Amino acid sequence: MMGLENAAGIPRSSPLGRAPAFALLINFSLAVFLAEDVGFPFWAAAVLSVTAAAGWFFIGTERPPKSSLPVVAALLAFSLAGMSAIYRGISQAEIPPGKVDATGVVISERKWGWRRIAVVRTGVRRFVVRYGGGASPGDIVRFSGRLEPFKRSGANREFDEFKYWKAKGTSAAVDANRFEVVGRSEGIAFRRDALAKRIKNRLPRLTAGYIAAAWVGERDDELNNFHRNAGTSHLLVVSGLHVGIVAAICMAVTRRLPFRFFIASAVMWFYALLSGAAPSSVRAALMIQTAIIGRASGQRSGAFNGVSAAAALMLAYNPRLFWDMGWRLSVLSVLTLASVQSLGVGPSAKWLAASPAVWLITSVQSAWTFGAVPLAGAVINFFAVPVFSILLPAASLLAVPSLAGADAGRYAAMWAESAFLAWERFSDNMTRLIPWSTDFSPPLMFSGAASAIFLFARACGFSNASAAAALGFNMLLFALYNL
Amino acid sequence: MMYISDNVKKWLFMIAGLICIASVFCVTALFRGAFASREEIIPVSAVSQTDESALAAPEPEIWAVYVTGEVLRPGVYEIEPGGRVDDAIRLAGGFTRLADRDAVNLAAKLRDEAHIAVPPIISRDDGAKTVAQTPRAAPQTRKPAAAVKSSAPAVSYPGGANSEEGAQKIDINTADASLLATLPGIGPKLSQAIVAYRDENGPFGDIEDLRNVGGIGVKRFEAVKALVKTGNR
Repeated sequence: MMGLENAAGIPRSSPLGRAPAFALLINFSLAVFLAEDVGFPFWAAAVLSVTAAAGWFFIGTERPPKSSLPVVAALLAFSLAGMSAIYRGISQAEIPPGKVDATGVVISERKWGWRRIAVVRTGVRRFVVRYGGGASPGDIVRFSGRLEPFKRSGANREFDEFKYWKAKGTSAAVDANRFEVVGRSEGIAFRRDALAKRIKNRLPRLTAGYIAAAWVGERDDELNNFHRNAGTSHLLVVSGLHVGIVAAICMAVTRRLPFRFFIASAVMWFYALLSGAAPSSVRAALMIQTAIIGRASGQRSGAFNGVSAAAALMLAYNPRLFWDMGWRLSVLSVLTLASVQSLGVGPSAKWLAASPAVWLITSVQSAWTFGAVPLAGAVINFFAVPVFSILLPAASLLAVPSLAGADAGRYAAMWAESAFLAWERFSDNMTRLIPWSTDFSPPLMFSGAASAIFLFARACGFSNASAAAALGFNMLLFALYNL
Repeated sequence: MMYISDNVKKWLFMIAGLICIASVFCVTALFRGAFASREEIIPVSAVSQTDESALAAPEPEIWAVYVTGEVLRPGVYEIEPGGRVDDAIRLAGGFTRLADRDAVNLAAKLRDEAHIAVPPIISRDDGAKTVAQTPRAAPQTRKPAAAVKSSAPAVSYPGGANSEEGAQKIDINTADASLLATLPGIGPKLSQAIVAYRDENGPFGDIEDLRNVGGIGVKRFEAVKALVKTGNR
């Protein structure tokens, strides 16, 4: 049972005591949105975002805490530091058009339209190099060509090259007129690529797809389409489920060893890096790291506050992550799950509420970006997370003999293949049973926003009355703003 | 000193919170779009990164145009600003013998990122020669050209440019979006829609099935039906 007061002596019934980091997340997200999307000067964006975060605190505070001054001071200090970092991040100068001749390591390589692209990390920057193909992650390449800033989109739902690539930490695109592989790096990109090739060569199709997605973050197109149609794309993205499984297994295996927290943390971060360090996996690793440190030091940490802190920290490090769909969906879904867990209802009710709530809140973003969102996802996800939290570690274990080169290993891998096949059949039947999908629409937007505000308010310790006030007032303003 | 009860404090806090939130919405709504977009491009000399030593001064402006269809070397070409369609066709090696020369206005002015699709003269089953409908006579703005190159073909028809007449048709079950986009009336969005439909529903059984794709009505279908095929049909 959670104590009535937190470590600083502030009642848990107030947002300051329950989830102070959520205010930072509001602060940072809104600052980036106002400065980058609305076009406000940064100082105005900073003032408005701090005001909104303060407003959130005020609405939720039932009884003014007496010992909150140090926490408020700490929050203001974090806010100031975060704002400085964000300002530095978004005011970084763009490289002007010109020519570039540089050497770097290929981090990732993929098809892009009718050409191929390689993301190349040079000494201090990352470039998206458009070229004819032939390089692999881990290759050291020399390239030259015309350097172009990313193109920005004027329309709302159109693909914005600038936002997409900036969120991934790249600086500019290069149309390569020369691209040659000059060597091979032995770094993590090379290891990932080698492992991905081994997985594809030695495992049956479905097992290879799921294991490659879970271990090295490489998604098979066919599998990706299948899960998109079923509304279960998150199963292929390395996120809290995957990182949590790795951390939990490590903690269990090392429970009698000294430095178990350190070992579990190291393994977890190695896994996050090996799987491509996607925003969702880094967010999960940061959150779990907070929990591990809390457990090691005997302190409890709330999941909602942990997710908020991890997400805010990531935004301060790279403000343009705000545009990354993986980051947004990951943060929104875990905040929703954590807030459902904080509701004062029984475990069955929480289980029943979790999947529809996550679907409703994340579908606004998914529908806005990707178009239709399948309704079947709301039902399939009741089972997806529990099933895959067993299936993925079991399949990983069954895949090891094959990957180690043992011929008999394929029999073990076939068990995993059968299990994945059974899941595909189940998922397929469910999508046939519930074939409808929904596109972005104002009712979807308003119901998603309302659910998010109410659940997040409750998770922050708002009373029902305060949560209802926050919900009603915000929705009214939201409606007026969008008129 | 005036005593304020906890109940009153609670209401004061809530009102303060609502005022804060309302002021943020109001300021955002009032000043939305009031600030000019900031261009943050700065001179090379101000980029204080060692890696940028490789950067030279900006090039003079050059246009990139995409030439596809019945030309000898389809692809993306650099061209001086102010050029005409004729210049781009010359860069692409000129027309093939199957090109419908009347369908292209060689005198039309080009612009950056233009796409020039040269349609073929189609051979109908009855043996009569006919001209592809709805040709793109003038350059059209398409998605930004992804690359600038000098010779490599960007698109190719199954069977090669000089193979038998039937092979000149585009197989809608195998063609990628960029090839489908060369069909008259089919832009990048529709070509993506065709590929998406194919991915979702499997291969087209007949070219008539194209009409099931959202955005392809009777007119568009009539314009392309002589240019497409499914498998060997």
